[in-house]
Amino acid sequence: MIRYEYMDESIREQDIHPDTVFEQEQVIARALVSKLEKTGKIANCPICNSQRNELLFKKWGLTYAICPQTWSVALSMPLEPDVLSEYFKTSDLAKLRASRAYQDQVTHNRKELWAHQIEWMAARICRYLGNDRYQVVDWGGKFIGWEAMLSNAGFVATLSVEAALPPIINNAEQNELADVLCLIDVLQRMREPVAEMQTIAERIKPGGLLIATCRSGPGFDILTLREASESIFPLDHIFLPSPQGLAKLLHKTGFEVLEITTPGQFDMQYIRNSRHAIPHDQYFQRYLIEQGDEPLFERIQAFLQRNNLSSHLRCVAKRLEGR
Amino acid sequence: MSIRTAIVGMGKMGKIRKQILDTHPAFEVVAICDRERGMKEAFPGLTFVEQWRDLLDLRLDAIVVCAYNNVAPDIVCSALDAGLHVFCEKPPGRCLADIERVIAHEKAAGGRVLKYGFNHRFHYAVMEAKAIIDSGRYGPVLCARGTYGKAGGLGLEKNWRLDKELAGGGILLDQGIHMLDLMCYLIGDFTQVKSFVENLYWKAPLEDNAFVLMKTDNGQVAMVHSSATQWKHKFSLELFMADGYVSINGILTSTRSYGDETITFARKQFEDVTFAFGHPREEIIYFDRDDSWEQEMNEFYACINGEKKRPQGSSEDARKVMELVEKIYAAG
Repeated sequence: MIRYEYMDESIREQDIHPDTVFEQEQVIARALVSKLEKTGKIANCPICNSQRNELLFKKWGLTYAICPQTWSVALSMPLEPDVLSEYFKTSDLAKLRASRAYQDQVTHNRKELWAHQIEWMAARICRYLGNDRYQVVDWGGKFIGWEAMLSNAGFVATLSVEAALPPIINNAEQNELADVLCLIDVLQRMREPVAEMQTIAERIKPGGLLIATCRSGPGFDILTLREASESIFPLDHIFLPSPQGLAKLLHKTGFEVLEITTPGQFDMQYIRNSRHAIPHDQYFQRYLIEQGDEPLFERIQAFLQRNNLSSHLRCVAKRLEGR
Repeated sequence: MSIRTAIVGMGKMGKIRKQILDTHPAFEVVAICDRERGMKEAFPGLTFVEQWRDLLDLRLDAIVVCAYNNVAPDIVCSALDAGLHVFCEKPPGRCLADIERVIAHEKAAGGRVLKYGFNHRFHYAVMEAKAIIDSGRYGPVLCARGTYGKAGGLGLEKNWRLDKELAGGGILLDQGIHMLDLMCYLIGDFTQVKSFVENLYWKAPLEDNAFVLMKTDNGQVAMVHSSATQWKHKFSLELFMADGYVSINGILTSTRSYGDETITFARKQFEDVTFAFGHPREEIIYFDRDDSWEQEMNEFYACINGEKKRPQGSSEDARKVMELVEKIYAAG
């Protein structure tokens, strides 16, 4: 396996999630979640089906559990497909996110981040498939700016958009299997990851690549802040695999993992932003935030990155033959 | 159907190759050859011979040559003549004439696979660097700087590696050849050479340091330092391109004495995009595994079964690097 380090001090968490819009999203999400029936039960791990899942935290009345075997985190709640469909496609939250103003702001805030992401994807595709143009599927996309940028990437021969959220329109007219399937921040909203990954695997040619990113449950900020993690909330975040958990999920669904890394830039920023919400008995983290300075925070973030301990995860996997 | 394979020379490399072949589903090591009779007991169940020519009387498909540089070319030529596929450790011989002789036999053998063990091409950091260069992401390579050095060790001056008759060349031919091969692999053919080939410390007839400057016909310049007085082991390869750079530091070995294997890369940034001019945002990949031996043997197999036409470390690759070695010795 590989580990990865990349520090870009020009990217700030506040730029990715501007306070005003992000707060508005959370208010609507919370209202939607409040209508759901709460069970309080702890479900089995969605990857390994372990019954030993433990309560990690409760947020807005819903339970997040952590698996002691895969260290993955998941929302412990049976979610009907129509609940998710409403949340992501027709609710007020979905309408806000589909609005022109919201999409324009996201494009403006994230274009550098996306450009770097596409450069990374191009490098991985060149490394594992060769320097060429490929049939690419973007699965579950939700940003106009991202789709536009991806369609112009040098490695794309044709781009098929599938399982998209509003305002993105699916254009999966051709049934040809993909050389590359992009799954950008989609895993985290999967209700049944094994079944959903099996469906996705069937859209990729044997030998083709899956390129995925998502939030990772056992990342430093999430395990530190738990319910005070502002960036983690239902139903945007249903499934937060660990690197080990994701490897297991991919193995189960017909992939060979080529690399899983956690190049997250924001763990320390998230914790600093919520410094007053760090649980009282987390003395190390409180000490760190109270006494540390910028260079120390940067070194710790680099340490988290290169040791796969950050809460943003990305992976490249190869679809196996005959699975 | 298994590929019945023999290994010549059961020293350090022979043992490594056997371990890898034993884990490969297609190869079956059936015989070994070594001058030490103790090897017969060390590897029971295998046909054991002391003279490599005796291997050619056995029913074999392939041979792996881990013998001294002075005999390796003879073994390779005879094995090709006998219709065997051949994997041979680097260097391909003691001089350019050796590999040219091998190439003549390879042509006559028609269709047999001949691959040399330039395993550094299969290190993940090198594969990453090759992918970056081939992608054109940072533009063409302008220049490069490589250092490959080791401490030598007790009694190096009496070791076969510094014995002119057995080895033919010193540290440059033994270890530096990997760096030269990588320079050719990643940049191109070097036609001009300047060098100092020195014996600075070890009292032996062959060089313990080589300092080399090389240039391609496209004007790309590379600097190589190959050393047996690098008291802390070092592998470093920097490649500077028009729009960025790549730097490989460390190379994974069983003892990890060359440190962690990493590749650092970045796009160049001037004052118009960054305040920290001269300190661009770098990406670093750390590699935790060395699969180079397995990957090398997988490729040898892929060539034998026709999946791949030309191996990494072909006879032509070997010829180019030996031509370079001769120019360096001549200039130094």
